[in-house]
Amino acid sequence: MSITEETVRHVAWLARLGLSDEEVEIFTGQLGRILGYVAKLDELDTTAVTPTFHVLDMYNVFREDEPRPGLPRDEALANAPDASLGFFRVPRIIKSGAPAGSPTAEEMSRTSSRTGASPTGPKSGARTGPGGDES
Amino acid sequence: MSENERYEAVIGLEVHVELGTKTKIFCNCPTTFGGEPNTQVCPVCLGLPGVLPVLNEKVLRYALRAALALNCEVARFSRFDRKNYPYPDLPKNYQISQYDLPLARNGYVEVNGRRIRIKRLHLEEDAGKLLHEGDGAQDKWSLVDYNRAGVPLAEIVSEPDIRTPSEARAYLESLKAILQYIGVSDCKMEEGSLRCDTNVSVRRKGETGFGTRTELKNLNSFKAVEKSLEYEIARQISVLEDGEEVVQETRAWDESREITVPLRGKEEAHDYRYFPDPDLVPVVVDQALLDEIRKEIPELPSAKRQRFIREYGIPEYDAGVLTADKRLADFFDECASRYRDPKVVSNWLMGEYLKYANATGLSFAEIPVTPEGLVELLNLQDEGVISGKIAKTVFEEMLKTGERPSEIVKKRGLVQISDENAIYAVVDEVIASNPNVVRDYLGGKEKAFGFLVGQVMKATGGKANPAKVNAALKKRLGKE
Ligand SMILES: [Zn+2]
Repeated sequence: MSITEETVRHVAWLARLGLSDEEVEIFTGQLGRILGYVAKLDELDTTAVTPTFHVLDMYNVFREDEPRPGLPRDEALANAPDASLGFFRVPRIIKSGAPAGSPTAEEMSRTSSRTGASPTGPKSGARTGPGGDES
Repeated sequence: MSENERYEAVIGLEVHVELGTKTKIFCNCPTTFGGEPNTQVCPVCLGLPGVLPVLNEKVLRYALRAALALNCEVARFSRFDRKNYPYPDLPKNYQISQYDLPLARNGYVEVNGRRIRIKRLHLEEDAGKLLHEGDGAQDKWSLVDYNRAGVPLAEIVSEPDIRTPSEARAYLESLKAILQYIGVSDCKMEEGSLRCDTNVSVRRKGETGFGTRTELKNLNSFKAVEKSLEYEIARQISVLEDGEEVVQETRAWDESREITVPLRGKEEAHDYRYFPDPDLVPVVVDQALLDEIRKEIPELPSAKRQRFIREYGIPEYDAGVLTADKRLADFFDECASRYRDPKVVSNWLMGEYLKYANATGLSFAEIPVTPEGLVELLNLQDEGVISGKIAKTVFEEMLKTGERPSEIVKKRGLVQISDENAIYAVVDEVIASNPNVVRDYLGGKEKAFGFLVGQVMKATGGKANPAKVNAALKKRLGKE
């Protein structure tokens, strides 16, 4: 399987990595060589081999449904780059070129009627859950 | 609407249900709704490095219960995958979900005699909640609460078998009833424990292919699901009738304007790069476990409805209303099994009881009246201790306080007056003070009689035995 620059740019975008043209060129070559190396495995006949779903030969590891306290809030927020009013605070995602205030598809896909009281009176945004490509 | 009749809609629903376990799907944080922000979090659900998620066994059992109740085939082997996408409400930048090996497939729900197939049921974790500070362009921040991150969800995807908006609503109601019956979710749309997106397209009747579909979001109630589909179907038909094409897109239901609007921004094709989550081992479900789970499933709504019709002889409509909620159904069941006329019980429940619940917004669990109380009330009426009118007054009190009807009757002096002398005394008084009405009645105006009865009832505070009042009046007026 050969790796194109386009693939590298797409994967970098998915991972939210900003690559320079130079880096794209470097990684296209490097990723191509890594995949080429692994492609050696394709030479094996695996028709009679059960696929490995997990590296450990284990299944059904469970936990009891017993609530236990987690982290105190100040500890939970301690390493956050920014926090406010007991919340993590992050830059608001607004897609370029769109009028501010109108929801993005991404935001709307997260909208639910679950109301969340907030000290600053922001509007509640929560998601309906992802998906939509299966049905 | 002849142009509408040439088309039919093709609708599929994607429902997310929060499973009512005490703790999250992969950690021991509590799932209680409405806690202070970020007070129900731990290193696992915050996605801190070096932690290991472990599946909550109860989550699996609840999901299996749902799968069996929805007539699904349960996979002997399933596993969890990572669905990758960066968004601030996902602390790990991926959601643990199930992709190509879901827990269950190929189920169905009977909705008004039609079978709506269920494509798949799988487990996943919920995301956190984002709050936006204000709405203006100057507002640069979002606030994140991870209390909900990791709450267990079952995603239930239907096949595109639904044909009308009302059928979509009926499907949702059936689904909700089933999930509540088996006790795996409270399915409160207003609290977000049941959420629904719809896919809809239209085609000319008789065609078997699918038209271009749109996805509808922001559906916050069953009514919104139905209304948004009605609007969207009409919109798609008019687009086609204008010779144009439906654009495949995601649209939001605007509740205040009652229209669907396209969501801004070009939709990128989803590319989640699913891969098996190496932190979680596979789930294997054997026959012994399935047999065990099957025993946990109580009589389901459709079976209960049939039994009510068969055993209690109530109309199908009544049975449908009464079995829509398990608590209501159990209430009826208990009353009907110990009272001579189940239809009378049904009338009280569908009338006074539901009216009260709707007016107050209280859930059935919050209304203190008991089945024993209602049966006692009906017996008091049958025995002539109280009149039908007084029974309603007493029931109103019972709905509020849960007090026994005999206590209320005693306390408020509501015992029916059946003593003939007492009744004749009031009747004579009424006749004496309404000479004109009496004359009208004797002159052939039947209606005047009702007025006189009303006056007697009024004078006795509604406590007079109506049959005896009728008899006494007729006798006195010489019309026996
Ligand atoms: Zn946790």
